[in-house]
Amino acid sequence: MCSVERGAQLQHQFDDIEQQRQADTLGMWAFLATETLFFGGVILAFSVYRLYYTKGFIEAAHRLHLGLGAINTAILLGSSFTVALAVHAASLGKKKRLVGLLLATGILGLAFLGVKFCEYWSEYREGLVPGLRFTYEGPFPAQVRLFFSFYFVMTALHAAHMVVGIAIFAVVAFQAWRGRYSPEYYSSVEVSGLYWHFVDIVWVFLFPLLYLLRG
Amino acid sequence: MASMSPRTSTIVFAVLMLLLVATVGAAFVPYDRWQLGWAGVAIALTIAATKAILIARFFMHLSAPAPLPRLLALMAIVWLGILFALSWSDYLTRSWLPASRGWTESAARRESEP
Repeated sequence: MCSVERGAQLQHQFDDIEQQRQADTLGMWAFLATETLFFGGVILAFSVYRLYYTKGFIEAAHRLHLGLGAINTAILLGSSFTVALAVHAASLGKKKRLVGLLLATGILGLAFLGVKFCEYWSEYREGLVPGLRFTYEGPFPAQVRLFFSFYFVMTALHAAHMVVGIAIFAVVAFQAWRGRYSPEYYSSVEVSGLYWHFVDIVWVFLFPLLYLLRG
Repeated sequence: MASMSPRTSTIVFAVLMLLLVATVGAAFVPYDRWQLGWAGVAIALTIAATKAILIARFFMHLSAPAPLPRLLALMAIVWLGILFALSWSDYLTRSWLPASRGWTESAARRESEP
């Protein structure tokens, strides 16, 4: 049974399943290396203005909802934890647990987006959205406006990655439920997990840069 | 294929949550009062880097025997380092040249008088 499945899953260009696994993982790492530079560019630009416009950016950071940001960080770290457990469940071939953990990850991802949406909504009401509704009249208005431009670009890019990740987990959970993965070969779980952890790492840097540099 | 035992994952998750509490707590220190703004930035980013290393090392299996993922992770960091080093070597040294000071100073002056 197992060998039949393995035979069906092995693509013809690979010598064996182990080589195929390593190629799967390597491909995702290559993609993540490019993603590092993708987010690195906007973080670099932010860091330059943080140095030049320190006072305005500190003023702006105080307008963000630190509590909601911290809750979202906890949610995202929790979702990375469920992914790590899911990969372990896949390696043991525990189908029910795998499907449950993948769905839990997706739900935590949706919770993150829900909290993010609440933040966006309250920032819209407070008039902190450049180009749409910006009514801030405190000190350093131009610098605060620039900070919020960065804030929305960085968090929206991150949120877009979350949406993609949640969609991927929905597909992987469905495939797991159909019994497509075996302890011998479950690269889809492993590779989508790598992507999710990377998105988590991006947030691990965005959270302090945007919310915490306030003193 | 490498996978972390649930026990290891739980410990890593607990440490990550502790670091989150630590970094949020550190954000309430009034660094500005002692002109230590740079220290606040350094603490926040050091904690973030520690969290990132924990996630990469354990959750992303970077410690697994296969060497190529480690190589690609290293390449990502090296390229990021080039991007930051070359850019910062520009922005941090602009004030060294008298001719280039007008740009930042006039921008700063405009902002300080709202």
